[in-house]
Amino acid sequence: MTLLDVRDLSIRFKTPEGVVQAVEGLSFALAQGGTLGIVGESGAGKSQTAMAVLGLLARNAKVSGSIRFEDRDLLKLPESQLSKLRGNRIAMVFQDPMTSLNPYLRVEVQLGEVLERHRGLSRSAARAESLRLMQAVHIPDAAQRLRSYPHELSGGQRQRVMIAIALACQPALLLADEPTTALDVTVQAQILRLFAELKKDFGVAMILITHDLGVVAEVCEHTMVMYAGRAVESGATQTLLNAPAHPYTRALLEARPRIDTPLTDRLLALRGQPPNLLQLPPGCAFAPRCPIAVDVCTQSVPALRSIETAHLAACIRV
Amino acid sequence: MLRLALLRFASAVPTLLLLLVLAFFMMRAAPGGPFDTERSLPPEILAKLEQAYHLDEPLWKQFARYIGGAVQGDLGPSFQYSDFTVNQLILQGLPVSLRVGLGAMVLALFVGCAAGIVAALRHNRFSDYAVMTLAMTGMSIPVFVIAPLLILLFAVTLGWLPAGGWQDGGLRDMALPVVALALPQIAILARLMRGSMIEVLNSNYIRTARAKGLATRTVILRHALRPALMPVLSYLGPASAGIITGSVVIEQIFGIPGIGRYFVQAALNRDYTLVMGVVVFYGTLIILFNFLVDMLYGVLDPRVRAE
Repeated sequence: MTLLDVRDLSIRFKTPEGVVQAVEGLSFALAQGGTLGIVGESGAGKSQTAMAVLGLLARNAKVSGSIRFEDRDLLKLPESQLSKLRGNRIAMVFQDPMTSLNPYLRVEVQLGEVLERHRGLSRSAARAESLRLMQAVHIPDAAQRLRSYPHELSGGQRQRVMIAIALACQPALLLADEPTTALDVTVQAQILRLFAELKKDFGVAMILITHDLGVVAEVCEHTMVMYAGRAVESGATQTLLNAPAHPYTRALLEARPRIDTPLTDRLLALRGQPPNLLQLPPGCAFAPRCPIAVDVCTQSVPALRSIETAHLAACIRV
Repeated sequence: MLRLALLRFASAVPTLLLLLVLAFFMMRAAPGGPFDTERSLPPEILAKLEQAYHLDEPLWKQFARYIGGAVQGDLGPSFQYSDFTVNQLILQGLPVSLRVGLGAMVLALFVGCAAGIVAALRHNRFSDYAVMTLAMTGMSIPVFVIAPLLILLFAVTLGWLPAGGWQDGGLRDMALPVVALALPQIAILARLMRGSMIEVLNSNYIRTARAKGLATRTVILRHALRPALMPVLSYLGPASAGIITGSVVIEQIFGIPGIGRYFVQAALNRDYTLVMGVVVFYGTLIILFNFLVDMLYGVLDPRVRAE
């Protein structure tokens, strides 16, 4: 059953420099308990998409389209209703656990307040439940850690606390925005394992935002690649990684350092710069950096079309 | 925490000593002396007076004598109020000055912070611009201009409040001086509070708090207020200094019998010991206040506490 259905989502920001087109005509769906990876460079619109789902876009944002979640259009819900969903049915884990927890409040307060707010638990009941959640995300000395301040925890522990907060009300949907980017590689692996485990135990649907294709491969069933605010390719993660269709996806895959091929002098990088969102190039936004672009590419924006079953790509050359 | 307290305390001693040296020698560098009058005294009487107050001794010896007394809490006799010691005069003025000063401080804190928070929450909207314009005005007008304007409006034109004086030290007596003293601080605090609140509201942990679906009230009061108050807190030291220096002017304008008024009189009369006494007393007070602020920092910020 479809849990989240995003249709034709566009997000624009009015800034003194002009209108920034952060997301344009984005559509995707997520089934209950499913996992979707959203991949792309900085500025591709991944994070803003997540913020739109939470209804937490900046005040200068203009949004259109629809975001249906459990049969309600989130874009049409009043703030009072949205705030009841946030942290409750839809939860989010952010990139930087160092700064995402309030340095002035003990962990038990930051974890307990979600339980008090959404599940109506008393302070003492919230404390007991907090302890259980801390154990569920494998924080050692959970009781003692509840009394800690964030600066007394390691980066990995802080991210585990963030995840415990996100899971506190057993959300139907978990948005994770680069949840492992700020962590050490070994800790990254642990956190990813935790996500996989929680997905199994809690049955939560997950959107994992990342620029790391390795992360996607590990956790996500489906993957959507974004470029300059649009989806350029989407499909089952295995298909996408084994047989990428869009030249941007292919370039991303080629840019990954690999252990099984001899090391060349330098890392492969995508040529050119990500486009300026204030002034997108005409036609396909990737055309200026594309190795197989032809003249037609700059004439109109290519639509996302099916190239095989459940595999879509927005490129006229494939 | 204890180490920090001791360290801060130890560093206060040289500060105070430097203040003493500066005040003592600056005062002596000023022309004239405590016993200069319209008609000059006969030389033998002047000599007797100077002997009685040890003014005939070399300067360094006088300074040493002063320090010796001050360390034991004796600020010497007043040169002008011949029957009083400086300690007595300061203690006499203290309750009055304290009422006005604390009143101004409390008023400035509440109004300034509230205005700053409102401006931050309504960032770039009308209330924000209104508060900031008022604050800019408040900061640019000196106390000695605000005070007469307030008197003109509320005492002369409207006749609601007394233009000055200190009858019973009640609210009516306090209203105008306290407001005049607090206004510049309100302006500074409002700007400070607004700036830090806006910064905190844009922080990642406030984004987290919002993503948790907390009520806006909870986000502001539980998550944003304390961190946003930290810069305000560190301004309390300078604020207390500002209010003390302001009170010297305000007490003079409103005819309030506090320490500040003694200070102005003493400076004009070259009442060396009284000037020194007030400098030492207020200097200690400011240092003490800064010390308390530092300690409060540790209490409020768990990260400072840990160090």
